Amino acid sequence: MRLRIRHKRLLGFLSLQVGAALVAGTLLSAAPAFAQESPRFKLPTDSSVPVLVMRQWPTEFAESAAQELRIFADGRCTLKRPPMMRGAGDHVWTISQAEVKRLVAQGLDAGLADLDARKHRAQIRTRAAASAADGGVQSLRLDDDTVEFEIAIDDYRSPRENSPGNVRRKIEWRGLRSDRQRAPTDGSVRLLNELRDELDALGRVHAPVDAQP
Amino acid sequence: MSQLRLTLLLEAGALMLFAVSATGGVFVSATESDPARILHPTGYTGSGGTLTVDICIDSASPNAAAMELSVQNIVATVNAREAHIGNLWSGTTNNVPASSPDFESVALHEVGHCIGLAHSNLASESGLSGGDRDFAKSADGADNTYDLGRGLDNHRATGDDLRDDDTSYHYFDQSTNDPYRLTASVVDSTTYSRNLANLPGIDTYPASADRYNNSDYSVLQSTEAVMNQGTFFDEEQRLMTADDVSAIRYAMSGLDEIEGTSDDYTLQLNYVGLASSCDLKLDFDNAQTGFAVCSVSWQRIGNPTSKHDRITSANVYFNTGYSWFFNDETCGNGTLEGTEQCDDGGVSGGDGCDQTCNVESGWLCSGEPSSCGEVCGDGLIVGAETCDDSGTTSGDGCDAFCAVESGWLCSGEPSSCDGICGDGLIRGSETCDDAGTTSGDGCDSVCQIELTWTCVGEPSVCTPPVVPAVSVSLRWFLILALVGLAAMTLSPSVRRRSA
Repeated sequence: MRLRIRHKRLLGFLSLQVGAALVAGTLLSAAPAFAQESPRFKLPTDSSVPVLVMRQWPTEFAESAAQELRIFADGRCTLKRPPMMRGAGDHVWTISQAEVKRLVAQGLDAGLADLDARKHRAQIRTRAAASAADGGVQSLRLDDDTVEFEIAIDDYRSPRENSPGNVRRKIEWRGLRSDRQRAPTDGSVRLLNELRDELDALGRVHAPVDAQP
Repeated sequence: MSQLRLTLLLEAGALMLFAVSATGGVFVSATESDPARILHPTGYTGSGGTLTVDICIDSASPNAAAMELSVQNIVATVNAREAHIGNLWSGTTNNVPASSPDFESVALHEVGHCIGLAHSNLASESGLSGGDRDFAKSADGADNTYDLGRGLDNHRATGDDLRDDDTSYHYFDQSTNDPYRLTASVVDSTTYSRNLANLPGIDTYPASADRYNNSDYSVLQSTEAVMNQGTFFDEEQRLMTADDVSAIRYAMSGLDEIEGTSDDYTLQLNYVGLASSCDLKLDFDNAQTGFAVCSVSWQRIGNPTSKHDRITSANVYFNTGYSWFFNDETCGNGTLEGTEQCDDGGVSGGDGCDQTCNVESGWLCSGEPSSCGEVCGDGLIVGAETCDDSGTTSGDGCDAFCAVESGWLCSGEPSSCDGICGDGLIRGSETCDDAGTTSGDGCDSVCQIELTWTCVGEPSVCTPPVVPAVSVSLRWFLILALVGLAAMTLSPSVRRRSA
């Protein structure tokens, strides 16, 4: 009798433990915020290496017209605007390291370290072409600009790799806005567009177009 | 021009004489699997008549007021559908500041997209870089690779390009394949084609109007299709070329692609001012573009076998981050505005006031609308002048109105004039002119009096030298003196004495 009671208590205790573990596991897998307990990456110690770079250039120009934003691990930011832009020249400012980490994390969420951009873009356009063949409404943005992202982080824990590694990677995307129009539900395209908008806004705030460098 | 290039051109010269043809542009909805698709402007359903496309500026847009004049100019340009040679102006030849993109030029290109026209070159969407983008528009073909052979002339986008299996999107003039000249009075499927088998002469691929192949088509002024992607800042390109105009006209031939039938339409852009919506809206919106873009949607017209599409929405967006230049002039309206030096009410060059309303060299313009006349005496031969020797004195071969005087031949700038030998008129360095150029008749082959001859009159009448007349007694005296001299010479005593 006593044994049975003790057995029941043990079973109850075990089931509570398992339940708690399941809940915790579910929460960890569902919410990226929990993952911050074990960092996904480290910023490089070499402060001369930009951890995040965004270059954009209009396709209409036959000459170099790229603007380039660089964010360094120590929070230093540089923005180079070409001569035909308002606020042309080199601009420098500083943001907090927490802000740097947030932007890098946003870049990782958008797939800068993992996404096969060429393949993904081709898939989007193939799907759009198939839809066109059905006679539906088609859309296109002509002369959409090109954006290029670069990321440089250390000890990155990729979802696909068990051991962390250093990442130096570049993604070029011609017609990112066009692809958002083609594939409005595509998560990677949405996140890359949001990253571009966020970095654009950063440049506009710290280096207003009417400010002299 | 390099020696190699000149040599290649000479080698190709005879071929190029009949290898030139006129391309008619490309349409946005063309795809590799369906390259013949034609995209029509908003509102076209297959019914003929005037197709009015309302164009507006978003009333909430930054720079809305500054855009207005340029948009009105674009409307006039598209509606006029004039093909121009010489439509690129940079540096001091335009009113665009250095380091600025010209809003009107960029907007004309984007509006072109938003009425259905695609790039005439491979452009950025090809994924190629640099000059490779300048080849004529195509798909990459079955081998999934753009084949970019320049052909014998070593120039891109010309009729002898070797493009292997690249599927052409270009509609070209079947009789010429000249992207710079619109010579056909009818632009439809009877005169234009996309089928390479219909190329003229020995041409291998449709040509497109690219600034770097002008000389291949004997075009001396810098010219490029508006729909060719690739501009420079401080560059003005506000007029269309044959490449652009023929594409619009081809589409206007309707669903049957035959001019003169009931489904033909006449495109008429109609500027409705600042508005919140219209058929084709222009707007500065940084969320939509990093520079300038045409965002367009379309739908098939008719049944699934139709290869015609109609635009259902069209928006042109610009980014405020650039030092845009907003043109404050309407060249060709007869009114002097902004930096215009002249405005004769037209946009044709060669009449003293050029396409950008600058006074051409050798001309003087005044008034509104400008009236232009040749400057006689400046050493430049323009307009109706047949000579200009930097002076205005008559009698020297080039008269006070810069017309060659009779009996004279003038050449060069400033003109150098001399008489025409053999026309019977004595001019310049001529001392005679007997209406011939034979020597030995007193007036030689370069119209100089021959030795001992006498020439008078126009045409010159020349007489040979005359033996002087002497009296009979003097004649006998001379004869006797000669005889006596001979006798003395032959006499032995005289010979001995001499020895």
